[in-house]
Amino acid sequence: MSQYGAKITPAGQDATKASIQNQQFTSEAISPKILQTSLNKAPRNSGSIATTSSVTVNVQHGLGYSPSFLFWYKDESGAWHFADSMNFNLNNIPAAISTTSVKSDPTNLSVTFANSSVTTAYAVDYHYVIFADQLL
Amino acid sequence: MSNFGIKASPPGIDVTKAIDEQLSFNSQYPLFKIAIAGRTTSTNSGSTLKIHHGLGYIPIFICTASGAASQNANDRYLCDYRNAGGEKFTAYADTEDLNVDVSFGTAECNIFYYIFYDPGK
Repeated sequence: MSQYGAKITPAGQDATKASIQNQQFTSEAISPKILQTSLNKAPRNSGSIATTSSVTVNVQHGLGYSPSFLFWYKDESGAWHFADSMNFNLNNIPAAISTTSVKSDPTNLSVTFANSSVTTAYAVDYHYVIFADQLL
Repeated sequence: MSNFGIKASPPGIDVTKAIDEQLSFNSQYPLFKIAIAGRTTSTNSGSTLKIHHGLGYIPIFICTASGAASQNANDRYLCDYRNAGGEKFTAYADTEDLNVDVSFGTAECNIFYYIFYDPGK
């Protein structure tokens, strides 16, 4: 069985000789399974996060276990940030918009957006990927 | 050559008309290829947990963890994590290992990881 499989390489590269790093796809390696990916705005409905306030967003996945995920959000300047799971605000963040407590549980991917501006309310664009792999 | 390749789309979406975001697979773009993935445990000794990959280059990885003593046991966090109580979790890769530093204040916590063949290039 090990003689059978599929490999795909970019145009101009020999699939029989390309290293695994240079293959677009190979059946020799598993790829992560994406359950959900979406671009959304917080608050979920129209409106903005009020000054010096926060909004928590829950994205329901329904897997029954806590999945791996990736999360990005856009601050008020338009810059996209890769979110970590720090669950308190760092004092030296220059942007008004920040995230705290990005986490998954068996039901939801959840995140809290904070707006530290004392003058301006903002809506926040965010993007996420939830993986289906349980990684047992 | 640019006219050749493979595209796949979910049921109900015409693969010949779908934009890239609607495709399940497009051979024009590489997929992340998993070198190793799984779950391991840390006993929070304060030492660095090493998950050996042996690729010889620094790979792309995704690492999450659950088991922080002050949180729900099933809550899974993305590195880097730190809370006001001093619980923390971070991960970094070198050419041989994924190194995980976790201090969750529990007897044991779970580390979940993907390590990809794909180098950060």
